[in-house]
Amino acid sequence: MIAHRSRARLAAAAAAAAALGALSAVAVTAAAPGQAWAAEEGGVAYAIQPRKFLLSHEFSFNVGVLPMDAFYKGIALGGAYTYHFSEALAWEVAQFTYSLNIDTRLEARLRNDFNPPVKRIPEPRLKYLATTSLVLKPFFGKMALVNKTIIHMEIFAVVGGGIAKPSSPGVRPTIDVGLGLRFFGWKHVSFRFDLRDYASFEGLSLVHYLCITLGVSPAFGEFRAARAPRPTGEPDVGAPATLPPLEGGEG
Amino acid sequence: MGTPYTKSGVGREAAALALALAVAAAATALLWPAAVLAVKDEAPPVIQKRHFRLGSEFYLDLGGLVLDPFTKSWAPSLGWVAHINDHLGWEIVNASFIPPLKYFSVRTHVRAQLEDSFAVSSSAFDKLQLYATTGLVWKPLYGKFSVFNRSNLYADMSFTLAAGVARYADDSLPVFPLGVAGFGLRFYVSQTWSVRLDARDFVFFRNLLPTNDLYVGLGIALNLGGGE
Amino acid sequence: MTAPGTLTRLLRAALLLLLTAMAPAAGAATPAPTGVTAFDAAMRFYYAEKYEEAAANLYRYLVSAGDSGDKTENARFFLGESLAKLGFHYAATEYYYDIAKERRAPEFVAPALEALEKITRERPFDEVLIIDDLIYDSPLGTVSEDIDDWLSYYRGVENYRHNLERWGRESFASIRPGTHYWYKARYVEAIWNLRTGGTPEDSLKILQEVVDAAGADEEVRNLARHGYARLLFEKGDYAAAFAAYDKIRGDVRTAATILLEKAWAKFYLGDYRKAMGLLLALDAPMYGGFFAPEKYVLRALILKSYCHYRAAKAATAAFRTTYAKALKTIRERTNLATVPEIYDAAVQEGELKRADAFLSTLLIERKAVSEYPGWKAAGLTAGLTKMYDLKEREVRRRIDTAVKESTRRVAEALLDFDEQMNILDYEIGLDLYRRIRAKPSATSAEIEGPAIPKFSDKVYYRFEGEYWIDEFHDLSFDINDRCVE
Repeated sequence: MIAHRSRARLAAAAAAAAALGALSAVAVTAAAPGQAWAAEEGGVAYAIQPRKFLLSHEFSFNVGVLPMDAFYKGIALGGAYTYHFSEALAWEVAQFTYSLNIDTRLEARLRNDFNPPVKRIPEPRLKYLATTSLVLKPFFGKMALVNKTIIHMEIFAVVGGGIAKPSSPGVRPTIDVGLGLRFFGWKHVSFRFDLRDYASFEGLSLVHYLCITLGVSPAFGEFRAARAPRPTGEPDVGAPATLPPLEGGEG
Repeated sequence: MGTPYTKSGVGREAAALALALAVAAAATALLWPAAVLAVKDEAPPVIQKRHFRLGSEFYLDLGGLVLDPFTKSWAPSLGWVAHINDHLGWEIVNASFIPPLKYFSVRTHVRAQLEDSFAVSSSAFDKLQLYATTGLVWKPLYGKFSVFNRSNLYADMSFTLAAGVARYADDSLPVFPLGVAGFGLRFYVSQTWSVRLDARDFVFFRNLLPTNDLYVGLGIALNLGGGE
Repeated sequence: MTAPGTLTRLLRAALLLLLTAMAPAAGAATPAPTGVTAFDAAMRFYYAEKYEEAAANLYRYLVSAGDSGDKTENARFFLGESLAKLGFHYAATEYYYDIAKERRAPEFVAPALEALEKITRERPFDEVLIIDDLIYDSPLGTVSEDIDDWLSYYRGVENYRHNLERWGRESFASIRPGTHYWYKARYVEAIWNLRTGGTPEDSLKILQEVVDAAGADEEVRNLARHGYARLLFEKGDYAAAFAAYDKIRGDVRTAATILLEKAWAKFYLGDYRKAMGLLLALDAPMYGGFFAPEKYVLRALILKSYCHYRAAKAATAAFRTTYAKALKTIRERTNLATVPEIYDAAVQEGELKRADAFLSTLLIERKAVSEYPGWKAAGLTAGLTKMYDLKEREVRRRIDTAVKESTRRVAEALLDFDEQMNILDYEIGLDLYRRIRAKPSATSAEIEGPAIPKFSDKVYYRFEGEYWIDEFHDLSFDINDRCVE
């Protein structure tokens, strides 16, 4: 029984892993090997801009769904505290997600639509998840919204572990992996979309909880790294400046 | 390296000439304050000479329908999108056929228990056989990510609203209506090829009470036309 | 207030057609009002904010009553108001001008002048009509302090233009300190100081005062910032000039000028990589009409300095490609104004720029006249069309007269740049020959530029031909110096 469920969930996880792999492959293809770009005839131009969100302490508040179980869907309510070491690395020190469970009609269908009616022994439901994770932030970028406004973004990956608490006694050790998109709103506020798979060990087998959330993240405090003087090897390009605000452009 | 002035008299002269002209023009212009343009300058677009533009796109997705409580299906799909402009496209068709083969439809543990322990026939469970939809694609977001500060990864995000028909295997109804709302993320590999991540919510109007399923897929797309 | 959208106008026209079709065919349609009836109807429409109908009825009244009607000045004023609210600012100007110039109804002179002041502040306007003919040439009686400032300002500017410095100073002295026109006057004084051989420091002081004035209009502060930055550049304080350029806001043309001047500042500071980046931004499509042949000169110079000879040659070739048609026209001595690059360059600055902007406004407003079908019966369509056509001919004549001299200057500049490019081409070839002859292996040696970190508090977007508007001032070239001795 568990094997069947696990097989389907594993298939979904494999798809997510393939997505990440494909993304990396695209990134590697797009990022040509580290050559001396500057040796190109005429040189190579770069736009050098200050990164948004160089803040150390992030608190996030998320809401979403845990959609995978057939008998109930979970409304995910959660929060997290993340400490950002640098532009590329952060530690999600503590992340907590509570599952507000809502029954699907499946139980009723089993009783009413099948002859003889099917009555099952209820299985434990997820109550909450608590994890700590490493956050990798390799890609920072921006997008134009209908070519009028610029939104700065970041793609990050999460890997960590913690516990899942079902409705039955005890807790289950859990591994979590995920991908996320962050949209920067203002200096101290960003918005995030997270897609995570929590793989809980139930004995020797795995139970997967797929969690999709949207969140808002206020943050404060500068990186320690940002306060230190920059290495002298970085190209000296003068004070970064932005174009005077035209209507619709980034102000 | 030295400055242009020591190496080349031409450099010095050209620079001096250009500067003199610029300052002369400025001095004349500055006396009379510039008027505000009545024909208000239209806000220039944020991106000019966009690197990737889609024309006619053909894609192959491999994804799964993951929410059905009884059956998880792998649904390879083909699609054809005519991109009208940078923000709008017509997904002429998105179609999938789920072969009646073992690994394309996977029983969930609930169904396995029902069939094995409660002797429920497999024909009691709806099996999606095929679907085809047509709809609109709205692509409001296009941009780039810096990859280790060396190169760029270009991407766009889109939203799809479509409608079509679907069919269950061994069903009395040949087809029934289907509504789709989706979200997509595309990463450009080149002008011709891109990688797509697609998530769509299917709403099946087979019975009185509609049911839905979630499709998540990864695919590759071939673009013809468009250009920079 | 902007004119109603096209859809609104189409819907109105359709509704009008439908109503006309549905009207009972009971003999002749209801005759349009004339005389006082038309005026009364117009005022009802005006206060109900139905400016299209108000304008039509006011025009009917004016046609029927002529100059001697009891309500003629009222009608002129409210017709001007109605037209202004519908976006026909030039037509409104003519009616306000009549009221202010003739002064037949003193109670309307002040509001007419206020309306004219608003037009001159917000959009291109007929400078000959308002400044030369009305402000400079006509006594306008007792006016409010705001209008007095406005009048004093333009009288002062005209005096300066005619080299009547003392009268100019007197006019400006009567403007109240700290007002919008006071700061504009200070700006003019700063520039006049330079024109008459005064010290840049004096002008800088005045411009700094305007820049720092929180109460000053953003438009005049930007002008002052621009002048301030240019003066710092003239003095050789390139770093301060560069910082000053960063604070300037403006339209597309101003933005292009700023990029070019910043590139020069960086060039003189020796930061060629940054200068190249700023020049690259000028290649963006939105700056397509900006006349800047010196960007090719600067680019070729910098690339030659780094011994990137092929790229330097490409820069000189790009100049020739861009201005091929213009140079051919110049050498054939045909009409220079027919070449778009030369014409655009000629109207890029000063009086011609303002006249060109006013002409664009006229054409847009003229086109919009036909979108009010209800005006045809009143004769307003024909009246406005004639008014706009006449003014368009007059403005074109003014531009044609002035543009001859301006295009001649542009042509001379282009020929000079072409000559410089020829010399640069020669120098590049000579340098390359010398290097290859002297030390064949030297061409393969390079000094690398600083390494780009994989992660830093700055993000590096490689430029791949796609222009992002927020990147223009952040572009920089990563280029190796090949001039290893």
